[in-house]
Amino acid sequence: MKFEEIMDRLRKVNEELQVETIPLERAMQLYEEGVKLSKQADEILSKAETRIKKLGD
Amino acid sequence: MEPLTVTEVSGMVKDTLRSSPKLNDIAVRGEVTGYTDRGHHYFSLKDENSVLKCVIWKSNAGSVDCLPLTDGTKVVAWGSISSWGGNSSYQLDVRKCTPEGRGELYRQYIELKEKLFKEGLFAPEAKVPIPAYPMKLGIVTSEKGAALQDMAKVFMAGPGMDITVADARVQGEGSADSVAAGIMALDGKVDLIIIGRGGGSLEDLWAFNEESLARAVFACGTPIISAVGHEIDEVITDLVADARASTPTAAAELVVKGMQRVLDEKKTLADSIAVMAEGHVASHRQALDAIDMSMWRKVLASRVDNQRTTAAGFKAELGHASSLHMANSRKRLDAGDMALRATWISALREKGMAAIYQSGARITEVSRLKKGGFEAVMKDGKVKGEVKDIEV
Repeated sequence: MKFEEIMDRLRKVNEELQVETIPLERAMQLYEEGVKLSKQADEILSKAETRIKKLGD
Repeated sequence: MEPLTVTEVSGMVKDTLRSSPKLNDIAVRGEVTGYTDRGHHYFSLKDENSVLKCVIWKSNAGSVDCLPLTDGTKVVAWGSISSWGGNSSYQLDVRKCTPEGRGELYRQYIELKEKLFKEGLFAPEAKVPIPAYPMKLGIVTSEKGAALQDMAKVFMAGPGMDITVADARVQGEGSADSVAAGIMALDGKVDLIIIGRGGGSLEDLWAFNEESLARAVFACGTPIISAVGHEIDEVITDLVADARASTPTAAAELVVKGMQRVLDEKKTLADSIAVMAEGHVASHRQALDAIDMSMWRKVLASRVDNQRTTAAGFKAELGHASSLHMANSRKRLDAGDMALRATWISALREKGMAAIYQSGARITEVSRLKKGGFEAVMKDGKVKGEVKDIEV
């Protein structure tokens, strides 16, 4: 998944968790997904280092 | 000969002026004097020997660039001579007006701006949104220019990103085509493109006012920020691009600040998810406590405990949440009332709020209560009671 897609999904997970009446199972599922997404995003970010190169190099 | 009325003579003068090709669509050079803005803009143009009354009607004012005028400035005004019969005077109805001295280039700039505007190249609906977190950035500018150095400084201090520079001539013969070629080479390969250069005179910046470059910016599928340091109001690429910045540095800051906002949002989301999950576990646990069936309680409570342990485990993995106390996390959730709600409920319970249950189900609205027995669960125990009257 691309970073922006991960962010979109994180927003949705957070939004669904705000609903007080969701079953516990679902809450735990969302939580696990949130943690995974957060890790994925961190991985992408940690690999990104600012590099400036010339076109064609 | 029958004498004419004054009105008849006025009308004849008016018609003569209106039908004279020599007095229609003319450009007049002169110095502005007696300028007043009364909705319509009134002034006169003068030279050594004569004075000509001029007016820019309110309905035209929007398309005249040089308003408000200043007495003493030399301008070229385009328009037609007309007469208002009432006082038999004549004036220049001005449709366009540019400060003199900017000369031919300025006129070309104004004309191209009008042309491209009519074609819809500046239309908001044609603009592509600037990505909030561009991992790959393209820059079209001179690799020897100060603009690139200025931008590099900002980007090196910001979040990590892959930057590709397409070297281009940004001044002089062939520069518009050179920048256009850079855009085409980067289009589709990066998430965002910045084109630009440092400030200069209208002549220095001319590449960014050329039609071929304007069309290349418009045709580019990748979002573009135009970042040209300039003295005049704007260059044409500012208007065609998806976003504009007043200098290359400002463009870099715009991008980096946007990325920083996304990183902050990510932290807030991760914290909020941990807090909300914790809230769900806590509220389910309280619901279980209230069910007076010890076997079920045992089974379910152990399940919740398991899930809670899992949750705690994951929470530890969550870099941002692990070191924070819940209270600390909560403070950071200024993101919204929604996120605060679950924690608010437990806080209320701390203060003595009770949860009401009937037949093992939690009742959150009076309208769902039935007459008969109920249980109220507080922080440290529960009471049994009976519903006698219900008022909604």
